[in-house]
Amino acid sequence: MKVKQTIFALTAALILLNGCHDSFLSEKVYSNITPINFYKTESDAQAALTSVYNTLRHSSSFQRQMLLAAEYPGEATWPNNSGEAWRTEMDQFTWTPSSTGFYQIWSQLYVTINRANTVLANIEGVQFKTPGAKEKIIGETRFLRGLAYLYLIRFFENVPLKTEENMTEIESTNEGTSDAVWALIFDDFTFAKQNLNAKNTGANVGRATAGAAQTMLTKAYLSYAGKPWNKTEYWSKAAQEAKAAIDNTAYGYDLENEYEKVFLLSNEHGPEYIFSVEYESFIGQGWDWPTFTGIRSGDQIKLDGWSSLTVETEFFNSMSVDDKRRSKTFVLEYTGINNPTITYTYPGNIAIPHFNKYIDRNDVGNGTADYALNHYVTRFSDLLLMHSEAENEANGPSQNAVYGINRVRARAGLPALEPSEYTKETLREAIFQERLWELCQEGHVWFDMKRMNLMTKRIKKFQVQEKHYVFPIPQNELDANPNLVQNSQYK
Amino acid sequence: MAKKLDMMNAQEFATLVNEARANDNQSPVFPNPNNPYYFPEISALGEGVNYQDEVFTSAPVQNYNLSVVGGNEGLRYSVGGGYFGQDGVIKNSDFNRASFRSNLDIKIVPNFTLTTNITASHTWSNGMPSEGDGGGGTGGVVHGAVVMPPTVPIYDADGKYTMTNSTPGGTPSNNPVATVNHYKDEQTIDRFLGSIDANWQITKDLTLKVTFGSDMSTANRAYYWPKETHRGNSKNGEAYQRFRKDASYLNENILTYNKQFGKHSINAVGGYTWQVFHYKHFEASSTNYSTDLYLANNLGAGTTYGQPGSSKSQNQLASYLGRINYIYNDRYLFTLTARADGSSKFGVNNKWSFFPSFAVAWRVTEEEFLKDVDWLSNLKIRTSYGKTGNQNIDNYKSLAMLGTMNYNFGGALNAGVGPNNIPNPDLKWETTATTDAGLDIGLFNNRLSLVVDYYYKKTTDLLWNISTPSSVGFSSIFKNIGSLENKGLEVALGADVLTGEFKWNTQMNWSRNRNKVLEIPGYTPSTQGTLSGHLKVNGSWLEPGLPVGVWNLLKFDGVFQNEAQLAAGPRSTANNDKLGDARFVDKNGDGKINYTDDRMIVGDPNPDFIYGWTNNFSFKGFDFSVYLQGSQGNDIINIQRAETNISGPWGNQRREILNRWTPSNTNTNIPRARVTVDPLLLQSDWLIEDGSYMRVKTMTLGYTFTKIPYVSSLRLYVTGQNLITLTDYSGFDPEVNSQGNSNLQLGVDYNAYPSAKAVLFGLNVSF
Repeated sequence: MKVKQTIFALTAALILLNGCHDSFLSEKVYSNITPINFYKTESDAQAALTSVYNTLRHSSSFQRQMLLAAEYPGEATWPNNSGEAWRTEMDQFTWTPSSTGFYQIWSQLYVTINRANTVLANIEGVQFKTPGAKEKIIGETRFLRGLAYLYLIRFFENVPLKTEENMTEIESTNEGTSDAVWALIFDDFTFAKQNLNAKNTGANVGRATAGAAQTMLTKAYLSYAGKPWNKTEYWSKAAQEAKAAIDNTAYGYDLENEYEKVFLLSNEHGPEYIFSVEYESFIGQGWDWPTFTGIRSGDQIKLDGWSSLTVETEFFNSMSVDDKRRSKTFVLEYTGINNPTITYTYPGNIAIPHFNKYIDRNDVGNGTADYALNHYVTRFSDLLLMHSEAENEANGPSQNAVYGINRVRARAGLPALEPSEYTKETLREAIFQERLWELCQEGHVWFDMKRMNLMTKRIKKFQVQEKHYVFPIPQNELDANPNLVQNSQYK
Repeated sequence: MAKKLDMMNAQEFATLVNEARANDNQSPVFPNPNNPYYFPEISALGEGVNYQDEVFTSAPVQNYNLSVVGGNEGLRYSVGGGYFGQDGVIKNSDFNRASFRSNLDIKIVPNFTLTTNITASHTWSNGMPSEGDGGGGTGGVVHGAVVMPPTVPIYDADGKYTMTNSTPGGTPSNNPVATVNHYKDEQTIDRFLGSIDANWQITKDLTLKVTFGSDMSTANRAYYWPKETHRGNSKNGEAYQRFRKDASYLNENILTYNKQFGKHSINAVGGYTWQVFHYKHFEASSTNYSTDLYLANNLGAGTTYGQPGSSKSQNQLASYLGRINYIYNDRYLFTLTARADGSSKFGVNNKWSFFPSFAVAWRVTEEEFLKDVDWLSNLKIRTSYGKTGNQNIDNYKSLAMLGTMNYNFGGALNAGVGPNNIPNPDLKWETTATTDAGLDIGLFNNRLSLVVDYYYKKTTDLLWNISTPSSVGFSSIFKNIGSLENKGLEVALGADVLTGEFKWNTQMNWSRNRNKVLEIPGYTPSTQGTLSGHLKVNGSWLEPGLPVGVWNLLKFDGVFQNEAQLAAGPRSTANNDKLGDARFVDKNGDGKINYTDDRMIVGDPNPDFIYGWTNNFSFKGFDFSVYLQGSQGNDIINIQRAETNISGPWGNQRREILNRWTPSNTNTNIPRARVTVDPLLLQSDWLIEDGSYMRVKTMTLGYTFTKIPYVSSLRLYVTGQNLITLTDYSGFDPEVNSQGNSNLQLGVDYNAYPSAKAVLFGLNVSF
């Protein structure tokens, strides 16, 4: 019958259509790529490595939060009542596990680690054409992973260990991981030191070098030797690494004659450069630290500042008037940028003291968040001071121990220290003070106070307790991961 | 403009600023002898600038429609067009649409009909930046109009526009007058929506309908920030262009069978449909222009090029469907439906899901025992159960995607590629199972009707981002987890009150919905998202047992009015509380205030009930209708209040702050003036208000002419929109949700574009 035939024909058509279903519903992806067709060529591996560097310039990492966490607790800086409650909590030692910044820092460091692990997990499948390229990529990746773990373990002390071997593990524990994490840090920096170039040129400037790896290895040994791990045999290991890096002519490290030159936009990779977070204007690679530390309504920089990280008056007064670093460290005097008839001075018509290190009037980008001046993660004066510290801790005050600090002081126009006038404790404090004058605003002081056990001694304005030598595991993380345990000081 | 906020004038604001500075041991801002133009003596300040008046304006609306309807046995047609134009409440913004429609019904042979439905429209509008975060001095005009201090003159001493707020400690808000007068943002959309149906009556009882349809639109947005604006000044002019194309294609094949034999009536439907959605976009920008004359039309003329962007994506849907309706003796109704739906968005093993439903109804009034009850014209009892699916998520969520993560070496940009998410190959349909029971009653020949429904919906396999431990490298993973219930009651009452020459018809509806999160395995309750970055205001609290969207914050408990109260506490652990600072309820009784330990559920954006009431009157050729609508018991989190009511020199404040705590005005609950905000105030129910409202949404008066030659009817009408709103809510409009795209953030007011009171004149002509 006509109806039956029609129904049969239609049903047949529908069944035929069913056949092309599964492919009909498969995803068609155009402007994104997936791991299935990536991680094949050498340039894929390079791009993967670049994504690890990219994590450094995130605002929860070196671009802001990590610098604030390392600076506000110290005696040199304070947040000047700027917005975020967390900043005041860091400055006044009133933080809790729910304080917002800790979660941001923790999660962004793990983004770095995860991307590094992704490179290491996929690099075996890549076809390399250039000899030595594979080791370089692995070396840079491991340097960045080591850097992330070094900051994590110094901030939080008990952190989960994630490598390319256990990437799929979700609820990783942080109990008893400390030794394994340190071992990985030493391993990663050592590998990087052995496989990276001594110096990079041209298009590769900004990549990690063997010198950077050796300097961070020194810092790692130094931290492991200090509070709270107290592995004192590592003091001399640190001193050895530091000396080797200082003396290595291939690295070519040296101090700039004039302190101002260190922070010029035109001199970002001078002899004092070891490793920086790279920023550039106009290509979406800028940052807003100059705005953050610039003077609000101060006619100091064209696009105005926020005065959100400013100088404690006591610290300003602590630096000698003869210290050659003074005018580049602090804002002392400038003429208005829009209204040059007005001169601003501190002390004077500027209400509170401000930092001057990241203010370069030639640094102009595409808005308040597009500045190009790089941030030194470490530089030569840090290495020199680390050497002095390590030597002093290993062998007490000696000519060797004051070599580094005296070079820094000579550049600053200050008299050399005489080792016979110091004990190990007083020299340690002198080194701490020198680090403060030399490296303030650069994200070192919290680690220095921790390692040297000087937090309660140096900070008198606020209630510092033992628990403040470590950050709490962020509450959000404890909520999401039942295998994480809070640090005992915060229970 | 429906409403303006009551803000302080210049003298009041300057007094507040100096007082805040004095309270926090800082020098006064007014006067500043180095800058007398911007910071004169307080006595020399008058009212200052009322930025709301400068920026908001009335918004006339026009609406014209023309249609031609007619035909004969073989061809029926309905063709028409119209124009709609509305000026924006913010100056120099508007919206216009011209549209055209053509519907044709062609009977080719007695049992084969071809129908075409085509709509085309062209929309063009001028926009103004309004919504969102006031941090970083963004150009948002609503934010600027409210927050810009009245002490800041529109022009500087040289007659050029003031760029930003220079009050020390103030928001870097851009000058909204410069934006409104010079910012250009043109948007055009061309849309074509059309379908063609072939309807083949195979036999008396069997029909096949095949449809092909398409919805295509092309949109362009071009904006330009000229140098008179702060953003344009800082970038030397910024031009931006964006093109996007959306296209979807649909095919439906439906077979319908109708048969009546004796007391049985059967209607059966079966079919197969598929649909494809394409999306493509392209954007580019330039800055550093020597002249503003090009506006956004010549990106090449800028001397610095921005990073261009483009993307392309696609998703597909396919479905099998079948339904059987069986009616016995006109009184017992049964319906059984089955659907199998497939979506490309889900994991390889879960593209398809099965959604059945059934419904039963009883037309009681058809029964013999009710045949003689004249006053009861309709009584129907019905119940149903069914499942539906939701796939309203972004494309490609189940796949591992790699993203662009660039860095720079040697001063040059280097491309970086890294993982963007955790893949989830098990991603599948979200399912909602709905049970419904209802009653339809009609009295007096359906002159009075009542419809009541009770429903219970349970949604399982909720699709959302759930937090993961950050050690994985990501803070969330998109998966199906958790379940949610919604249950409620809906009542609709209608009556033809008067049916003579003067007609009056009234319709009322009332509904009440309760939602509750049921369970989320492995999830610890926490806040979801952030509502304001720079103010650090958290999003809603998600916890099983509570409704979606509630807020878990500190409870504000007045201020410390005197020394005794300050000593009694409870004091906050982070701040240094002084007299006049805010006090909060100490939930855990430990004598200290701490956000994590003392917060509690302080607000619920879900209303207790919502309602609407329409009254239609007609007399001779006149028609008059009033539509009233309202919501009761919904709370709103007023972030805009946070921007304007944090008691300091940040920006202009509402006049209620004149009653702030001072040593001479201690009997008040408004905190003292201070230079920086008390951060706990922004984490408390200080921001939450009752958003209940009743609104006369539309009121229309019209007249229809019938005796005009060549014209079948002509109607003139005038409509008022949003004429009256009754509410205690202090913001612009209680009908607000700035985060409309989010399922978890409800009832948020963050510089939402204010609603307009409008009067609309219109004309409908039919031939």
